Amino acid sequence: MLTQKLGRMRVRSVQTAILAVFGVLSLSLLIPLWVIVTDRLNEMQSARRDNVIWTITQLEVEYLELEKAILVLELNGPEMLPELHRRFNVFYSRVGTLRQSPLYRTAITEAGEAANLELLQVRLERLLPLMDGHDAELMSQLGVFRAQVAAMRTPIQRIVKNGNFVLVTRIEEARKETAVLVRRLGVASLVLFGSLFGAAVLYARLFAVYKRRAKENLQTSLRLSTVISTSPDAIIVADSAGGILDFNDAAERLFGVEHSHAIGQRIAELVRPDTDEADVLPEREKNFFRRRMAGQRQDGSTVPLEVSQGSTAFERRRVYVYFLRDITERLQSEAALQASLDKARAGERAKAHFLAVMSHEMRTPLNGILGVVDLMRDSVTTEKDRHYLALLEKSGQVLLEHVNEVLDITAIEAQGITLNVAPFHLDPLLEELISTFTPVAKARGNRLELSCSPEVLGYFQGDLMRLRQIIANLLSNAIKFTENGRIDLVVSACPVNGGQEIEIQVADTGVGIPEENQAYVFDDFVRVGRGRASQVEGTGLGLGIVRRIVTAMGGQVGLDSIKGEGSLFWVRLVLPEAQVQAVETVIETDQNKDLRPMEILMVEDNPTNRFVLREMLEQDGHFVTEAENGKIGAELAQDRHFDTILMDINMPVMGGVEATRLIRAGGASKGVRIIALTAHVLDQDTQFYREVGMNGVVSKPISRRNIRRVLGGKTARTEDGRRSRTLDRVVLSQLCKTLPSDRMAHTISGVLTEGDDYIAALEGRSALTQEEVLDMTHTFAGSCAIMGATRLRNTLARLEETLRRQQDVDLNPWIAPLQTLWRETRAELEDFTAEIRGNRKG
Amino acid sequence: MLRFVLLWLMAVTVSFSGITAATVETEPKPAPTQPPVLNVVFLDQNEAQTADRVLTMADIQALPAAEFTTTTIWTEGEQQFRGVWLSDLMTYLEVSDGTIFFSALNEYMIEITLAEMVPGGPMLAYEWNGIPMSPRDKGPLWIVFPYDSDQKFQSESVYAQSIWQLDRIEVSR
Repeated sequence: MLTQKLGRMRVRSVQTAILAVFGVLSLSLLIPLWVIVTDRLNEMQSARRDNVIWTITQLEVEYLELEKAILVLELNGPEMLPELHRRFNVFYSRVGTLRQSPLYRTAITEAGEAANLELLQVRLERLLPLMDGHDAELMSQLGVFRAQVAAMRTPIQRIVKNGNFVLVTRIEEARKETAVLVRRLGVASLVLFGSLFGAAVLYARLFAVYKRRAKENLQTSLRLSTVISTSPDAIIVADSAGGILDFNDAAERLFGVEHSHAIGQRIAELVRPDTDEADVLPEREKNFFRRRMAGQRQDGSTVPLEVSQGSTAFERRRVYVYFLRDITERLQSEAALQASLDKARAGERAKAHFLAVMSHEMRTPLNGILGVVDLMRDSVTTEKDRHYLALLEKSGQVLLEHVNEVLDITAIEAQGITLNVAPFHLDPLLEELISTFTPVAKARGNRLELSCSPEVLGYFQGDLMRLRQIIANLLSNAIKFTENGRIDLVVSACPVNGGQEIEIQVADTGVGIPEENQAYVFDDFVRVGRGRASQVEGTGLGLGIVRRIVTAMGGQVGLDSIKGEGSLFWVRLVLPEAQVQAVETVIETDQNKDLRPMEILMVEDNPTNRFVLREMLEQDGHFVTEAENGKIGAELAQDRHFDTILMDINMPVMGGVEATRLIRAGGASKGVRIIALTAHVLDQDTQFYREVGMNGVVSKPISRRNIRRVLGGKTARTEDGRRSRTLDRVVLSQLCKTLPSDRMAHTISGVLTEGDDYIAALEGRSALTQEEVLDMTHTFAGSCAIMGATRLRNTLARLEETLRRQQDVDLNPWIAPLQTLWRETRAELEDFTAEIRGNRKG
Repeated sequence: MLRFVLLWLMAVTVSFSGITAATVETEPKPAPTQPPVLNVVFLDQNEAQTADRVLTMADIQALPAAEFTTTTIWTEGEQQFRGVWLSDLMTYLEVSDGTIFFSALNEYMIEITLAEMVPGGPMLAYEWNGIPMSPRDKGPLWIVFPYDSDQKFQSESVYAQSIWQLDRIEVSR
């Protein structure tokens, strides 16, 4: 558009230039022509030549008159003398004129007749004495006179003839010359006319263009003025000093100021910043800006405005245009929106808080129920009651699981996921999970299989608990939706940059998930209808938690599923490998495993919990002192030494944290082990309790197993999953169910002896060959597997593998970890033995 | 035709008067009577003569004199003329309308309208470069225009109107 216009302008200027050149050219031709023609015209006007022919011809005429006068005189006598004088004088005067006038003289000279003219004069003068003498003498000499006059005839004829010829020729030439001039003039005029015509056409076109443009401009300005006057927004135009130049209808309505009144006012009087700053309009620094300001109405009220300023310069004059919009309504709706948003957020927070509190509060009664169930297990005798009790316990466990899930997701929502990265061994984790879930799977007629590639995966840096949670959720999910089928946990590792990529697959042969639902299964509270008949229980949070954890670990999670054929959930994580040695040394060397009867102070506000816990502890032979809150507990601890204090955290009057501080501050039980009893399960809490001076944490609901482990000097199972896997209780329980209890005790004591012998043999290794060590290791690993001593078995399996593959294996690096592991395993086995004995007793 | 007859008669009259003068001149000095130099004839619509006036050089010289210097196409160099504006002459002759013809010795005849007769326009000259004009050299009376004073006096028609050897004026009313 602009280039087009420029192009057109260029064409026009070229046209103008060409026309100008033509015009100048024709003018330069015309001007000299005009000069010449004007000269010629002047010459013609003054006409000094035209009557020359007549004058010369008159010479002959007057000569003939003179001759006639002589003739008349001769015929009529002297009375005709005056006529002769008259004719003579006329003739004489004519000759004189021809001689005197340069005009005639030149013409006659050019004709070559100057000599004849002079001859004529001479002959005339010869006649003068007769003419001026006496008439009588003239009369007497008339013959002579006539002869002399007659002698003039020939020169006169020659003068007239030649003179006229020359003159006619010259006139003709002049005429031709004039004709040429006129023709030239015509041509030049034609050219000039052409250029003028061209110019006229060009200007006519330009005129048309400008007229059209003017019309367009008019239309545009009309349109603009319509736009301005009908604009719902107020529009104000101001000059660079802020003086108002234009003020539209909407502005009149907005400010309540009439147009005529507004013109010339300063815009800063009407529009001010809505803060306390000085007037800012017009904003000369910026060509364009938009901000919120306050409008000053005529009636004194103010109105919130959104002001946009634009500016434009026309011929060095800068003009500012303001669009002002009344944003009262917008602000109101914004405020309303904000209020409702705040309300919604508050509601959301309240809901989340409620959920957290409720989950938390639900755990307390559950704690009671499960505790009582635990206690009753020993007292019920009939098969029917045992069945009821089992149902009760199972329902309670399921409920607890749900509450935990809700609590977990609430905590994740509230605080995000904090990963507790530490070295861990992947293989025992997987084995533990398989053994944990096998009974559940079996209950639904499912087979649960683990396969790893490579067979031993090894040690990694990561959050063990969260990884366990991922796999557990996937497994439990798969089991829920599969009946009489098969579930495979397939874990593979392959080296990538920065560690190993672990791929965990959980494949089932269950109902599968329709494709349209696959996208939603990882959302919260999603319970994809996989057939109403299956009546699957659950919160729908399990996969949501999995997704969050995997994302937090920087991994991916996904699924492949065919409805009716099964599902495959997969998780991919990159985990750095960990040094084996580093893990082995982490193992605690707490030897305090003998469960001697202890003086225990139990600080707990819930009477049910107190009752359950007292029952559990007293059954184990401990002496229990109860306190209802932290204050009473601390007072009791002040005066009396206890072996261990179990401290609830949330209590009326005084909480556990405060009570612990008081106890640690001084008194009889100042240095005693204090174990927190809490519903909180998160790892960072453990850290917190340690910081306030507690020695361990037991998560509710408290089982006999947990409390025994804590009292035995070990921290609770929730504190460190790794340690609990030293002995796989599930495997051991199954063994228990299979074997009669006396055989069980015998088997265990046999393993204990075998272990002691094995360790002793290793310590005195020099006496053994590698083959003997290999055999022993193999046998002992088998025993450990039967007993569920997973960690020990894994280490032994690795040793066995090494011994098989390599010659002259140095056993030294293996001894210390094996000793430690054996100590732990042995302690747990002893614990277990004590338990089964206790059960038998009960 | 009638005009030629009249002219002829007029010519005869003049000739006689010339003869008379010539004859008188030969006489011992009587009271010198000026010879007529200009004959003014008044005609009515039928070209019948109604009046006749004969002017001598003295009559003409008695009128207010005018003078100018100009070049002419018949002479070489600046010429000085002295005479009477035709307008003054017409006033003297009490001519205020009609057609005025001027005629010369050689029967040359032209018309000058009253409108053309303005001071600074046609002049009846009787002195040329300070001396009276001879009948042998365009005299004794010559109507001249101040040709150099105005371009309009340099036209063919003005040259034609510049009649010399003037001897007769015809006024038709």
